[in-house]
Amino acid sequence: MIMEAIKSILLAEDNGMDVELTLEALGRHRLANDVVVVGDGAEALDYLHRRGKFEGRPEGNPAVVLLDLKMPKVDGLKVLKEIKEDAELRTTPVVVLTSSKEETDLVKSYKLGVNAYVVKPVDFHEFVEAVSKLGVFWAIVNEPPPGSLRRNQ
Amino acid sequence: MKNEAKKNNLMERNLKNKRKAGKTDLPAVHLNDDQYRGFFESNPAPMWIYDLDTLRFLSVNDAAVFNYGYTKEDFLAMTIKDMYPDEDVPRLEDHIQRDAHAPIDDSGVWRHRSKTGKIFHVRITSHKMELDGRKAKLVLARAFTDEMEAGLNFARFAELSDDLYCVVENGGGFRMVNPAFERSLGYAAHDLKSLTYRDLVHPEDLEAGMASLNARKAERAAVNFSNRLRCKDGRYKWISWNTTPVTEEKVVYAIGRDISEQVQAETLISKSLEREKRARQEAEKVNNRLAFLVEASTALSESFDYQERLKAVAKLAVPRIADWCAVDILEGDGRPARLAVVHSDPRMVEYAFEIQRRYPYKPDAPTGLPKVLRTGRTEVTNDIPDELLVASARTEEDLKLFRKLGLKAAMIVPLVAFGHTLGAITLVYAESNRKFTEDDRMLAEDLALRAAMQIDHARLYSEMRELNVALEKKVDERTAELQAVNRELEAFSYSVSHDLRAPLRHIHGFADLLARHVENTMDEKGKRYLRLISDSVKEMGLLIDDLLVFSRMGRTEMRKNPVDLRDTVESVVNGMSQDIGGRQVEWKISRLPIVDADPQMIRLVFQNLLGNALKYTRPREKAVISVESEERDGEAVICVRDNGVGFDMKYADNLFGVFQRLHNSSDFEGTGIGLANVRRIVQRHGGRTWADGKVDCGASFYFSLPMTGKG
Repeated sequence: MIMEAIKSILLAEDNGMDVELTLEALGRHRLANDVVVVGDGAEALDYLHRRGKFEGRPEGNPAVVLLDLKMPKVDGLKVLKEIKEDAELRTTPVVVLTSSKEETDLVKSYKLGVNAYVVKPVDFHEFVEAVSKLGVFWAIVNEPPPGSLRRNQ
Repeated sequence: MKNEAKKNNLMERNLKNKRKAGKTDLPAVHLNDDQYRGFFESNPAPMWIYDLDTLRFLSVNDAAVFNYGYTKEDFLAMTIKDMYPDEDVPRLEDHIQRDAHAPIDDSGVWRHRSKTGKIFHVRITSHKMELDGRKAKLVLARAFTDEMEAGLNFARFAELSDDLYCVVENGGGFRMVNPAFERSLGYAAHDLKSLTYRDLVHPEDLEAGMASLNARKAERAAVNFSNRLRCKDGRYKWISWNTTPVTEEKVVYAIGRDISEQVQAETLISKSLEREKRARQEAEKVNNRLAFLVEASTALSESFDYQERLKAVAKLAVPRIADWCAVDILEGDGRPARLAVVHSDPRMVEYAFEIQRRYPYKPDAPTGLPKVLRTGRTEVTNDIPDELLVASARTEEDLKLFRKLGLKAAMIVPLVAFGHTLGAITLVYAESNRKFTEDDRMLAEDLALRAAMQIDHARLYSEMRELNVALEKKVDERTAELQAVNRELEAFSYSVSHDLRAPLRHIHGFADLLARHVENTMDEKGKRYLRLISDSVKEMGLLIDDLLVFSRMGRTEMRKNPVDLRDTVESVVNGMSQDIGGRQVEWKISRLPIVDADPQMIRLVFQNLLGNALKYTRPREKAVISVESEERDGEAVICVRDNGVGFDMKYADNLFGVFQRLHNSSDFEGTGIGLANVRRIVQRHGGRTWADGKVDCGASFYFSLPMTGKG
């Protein structure tokens, strides 16, 4: 049976350049093809709920959601909240990947049940390092919740 | 009395008639010699005959023998001198010589001595006679009875006593007085024959004496009273009388004692008591004045609401120092406002206000309140004549009102503080016999002085308070402005730094990718340029990070706890072990206090200071970094000293500025935000920062934190 490529990483990021750099980083570990990119919070939720333009996508939650906080339409925290309050989506690991080191964002995120909070380093090398580690851990090393889309090794 | 007189008249008429009728029959009585001798012999009274020349007894009767105890033989051997006590003999001899030739001699009362030595009084009557050719005297001696003896003794009391003994007839005449009258008052017995009791008594005392006497006439009870009697020389003596009226005899028996000395003494005592009393009253008056002043001062200083206080003082003044008290204060327009009018009767107060309404204030009036306010001098008018009221009143009704107010004496005292008149206190007496004395004036002026000072103080105080309030308001406004600006700044720096990061990241990222991409094709120069771009980006990133930290330091809430600074320092030092690497660093950390501070922020302070110390001692072979503390005026002053490259004090002002550096980044990395953070944090804790250094001789960085009293 030919399956559509199972994408295990959902990247919600509005900035094109950040997307490129992130994909570049993930690419270092051959994770680039595992990434679904959405440009704002609404699209992120559409994907997760398998509605809108993602209606026919294969069932299953991503192994990890890489979530930027500052997004148009629906921002990261709202997406996080919805994910963690939804019975079916709740178990999906969410990693906030943001420029903000603001304590309030941290507090709110953790209160909403975020799994990890990573500040994007300015330094590209550090950035690559961080993103790769994230990708490797969540998409490869970590045992995702049952029902998650996982990259077939 | 009437009956006696009647009886006498009857008898007289009888006798007359009898004589007329020639019916006076005298019984014929013929006595023979023996019978006559018998009269002598058996006379109940002692009788004798003595020789005038020899004074020897010639014959004595039985009574003489019986009374005197001598026998007839004894008598015939004695002279009459032997009958007398020795001390009386000179008087006897003297008497005999003088009256020897008197036919009948009633020579009065003598003392005789019996054989047993008993002395008794006798009354002697003698007749000159002849017996057997001799000149002789026939003597009849009537002995005193016991009553007579007693009477004699008592009579002696009267004679000897210094007290006045007298018997006064109801009409006031003196029936009997004793010699004391002469000794004490100067009146001989015959002087008093023509005088009555009333003539002697001091006119003022007459009433009292007579009243007492009259009141007790009916009883026999003794009546005691005192009065003054006039002596012959005109002086008066105080006599204390003990009197007993004998109503049947229509006389009063009285004994009087001279109590002049006593009275004088008592007068002196009472005079000195009077003086004492007056002195005490004076002292009380002074005390009262002082007490009033103290009370008034207390009342004045109780609060700064001087209007209330002045009213209270006015209330105190009435009625202690006046019947009316009014207080006027000059307002801004130069006219006085009546602050208070006090009288014990509130209706009067109303009348006073009515008068004020009808007679408004005239600033150029020659006397009264306007004058006092102009001149700043007290005015006292002690006798306000009715004419003045009449002249001042415009209508009959007003005059009535004036009179009702009862303005008898007035004193207007100005309230003067530091040379300018603030108002006046008016005091009025409404009773005609009270006047304002010099003492009253001084009291009132003292009071006015205190009141004036109070008013001045109060005004200054309220001005000061208003200024203060205005100032505080300004300060609050400014603070709010500043706080708003600060917040804006901090928000700005946050958002800027936050938003600047993303592009930076991108530059860096793509620069790097580019570098990789052209690795094989680019020359060294090109690669170098790319490297420089990356470095700049990195630096910018650090700057932004620092700026973010700086802005956060200003905005986050401080959570103060007791922080052991020594622990903080040790922890920071431990965290630096990586940066130290293999360098030789000597840490000298002395005893550090425990302060109330935000642990994170203080940690940052030490991170910065110790980090700097470490950084700038890098050229040294052995870095010596010390952390000391000292307590000064309730503050803990911490010093971080190093033996590094130091700095030029000329530029010390810039040290703590944001992004200010005194070294260039090629020698020592750093953004120059560290010390700005330190300053901001220390400032937020209520402390100060300063530094000391010398080029190439190390640097000392100080900061102070308020002490909690612990550690």
